[in-house]
Amino acid sequence: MELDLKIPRDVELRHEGRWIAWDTDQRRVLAEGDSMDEVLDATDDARDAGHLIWYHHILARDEVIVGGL
Amino acid sequence: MRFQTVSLNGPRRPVIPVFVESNSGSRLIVDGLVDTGSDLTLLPERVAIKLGFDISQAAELPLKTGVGVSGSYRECEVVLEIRWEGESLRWRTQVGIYPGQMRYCLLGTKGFFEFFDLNYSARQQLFELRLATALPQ
Repeated sequence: MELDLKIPRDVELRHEGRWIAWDTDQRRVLAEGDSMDEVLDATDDARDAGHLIWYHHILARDEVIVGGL
Repeated sequence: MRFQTVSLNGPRRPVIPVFVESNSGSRLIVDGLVDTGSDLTLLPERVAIKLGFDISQAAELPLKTGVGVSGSYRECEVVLEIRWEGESLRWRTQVGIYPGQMRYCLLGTKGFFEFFDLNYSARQQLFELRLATALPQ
């Protein structure tokens, strides 16, 4: 089955301003947190078990990015 | 490869999911900001660590952002992949590994634009990537 690389909008709205770990196989949020480090750490077991996880930050509406750092 | 710019409710940005793969084959997905202003492709250090890369012996190199923030990075060879409409492109390349927090990985000149041409229209909310050369495997 083709991998669906879309995170549902309602999921993004629920986690606005946060990092999420999105399990692309199970299509659900495995962890959320304030930093990428936090969600990476929280999903060590799932990643080691072979789950393909998308680490995704949902910007708050008023957040402006100037370059990526 | 045509992509729509993405947004929740704020500004739309040219962001695509990027697969990052280790030498052992383990992989994860991060958001890559298509950034013509970045000299290199940059990933957060924690991602490299989680994938098992050892960058401790790599030289520490300086970087500066467009708004004057200074930092450093180390180089590392990774396999990157992008997918669209059921197809995929994979390539092996040198990227920078940044020790700090990043909202997005940066897809910059080295590691990305050396292989892809870009056509970007913020007005039409889309960007198009075209393979410019053979990808190193």
